[in-house]
Amino acid sequence: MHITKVNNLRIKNFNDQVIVFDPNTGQTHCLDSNVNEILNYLPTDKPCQSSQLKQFFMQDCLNDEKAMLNDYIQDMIDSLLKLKLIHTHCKNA
Amino acid sequence: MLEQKNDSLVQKEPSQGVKASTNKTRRSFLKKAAIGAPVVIASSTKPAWGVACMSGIMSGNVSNHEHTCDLQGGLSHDHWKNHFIGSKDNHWTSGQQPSNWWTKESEILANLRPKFKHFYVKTGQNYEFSNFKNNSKLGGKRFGWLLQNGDIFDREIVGAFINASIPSLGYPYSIADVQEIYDLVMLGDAERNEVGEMLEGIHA
Repeated sequence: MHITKVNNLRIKNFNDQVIVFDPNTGQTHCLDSNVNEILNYLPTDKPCQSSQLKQFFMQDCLNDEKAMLNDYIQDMIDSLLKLKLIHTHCKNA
Repeated sequence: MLEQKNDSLVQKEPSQGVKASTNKTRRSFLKKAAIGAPVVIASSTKPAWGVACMSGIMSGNVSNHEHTCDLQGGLSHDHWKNHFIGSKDNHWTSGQQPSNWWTKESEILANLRPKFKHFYVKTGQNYEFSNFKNNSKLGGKRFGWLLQNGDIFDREIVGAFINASIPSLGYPYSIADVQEIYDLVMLGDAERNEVGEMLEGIHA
């Protein structure tokens, strides 16, 4: 799956949470601060493979940690997709 | 040759700072994953930016004399002052008599007629409905009067009520939020002029 972050997100950190305002939808979301790491990693123009994103954060981890991280990052991706803060792209698009 | 190889290795290796940062992130991910912490804490059209602005005002940390609040949205009190259409039996913009308005806008009015119990306003070329022509919170004074004669807080809070009541504007405050802001000012928890200036900065 290839994904990109939507344009013009406005993000502010508050301790362990991050407030994300999406001017495209007018919606504001309060998210766990870890989401900001995912959003920071993702570009807005060039689609990035979700497996590549996971690999970046899972490198040098033990196998059981990798499994845990894989599920957690996938959960973040799913949540961001539901909130329309990231988009999926067809590989050949 | 050996030096060149070493150089290329140095370039490919992430810096210590980046590595430390990634490790910190990874630890945070693992910690949250282990306890099953939720990713989405809250999500709504409620104005998180605006709440932050109000919090700043109430704690005295934010001065809005220069409109430093990040939130933007809605239309200004000046717009509403000049596009105050009114409610049933009271249809006019400033300087325009009801009869003129009826003649000029007869087709639009025919469509709006069933909804005359609502206050309605003009945004650009569109006619929109608001739930308000006045609000009991504002001492029974009409919005039009407050827009023309009120102080900075009066006119901006009226603008906020109208903005919030028109979904198509995408105003970041809900009507309930605006009422809360009003209550905070009336209770003395937020300073009247500061809040007026904050709202003025938010309204385009």
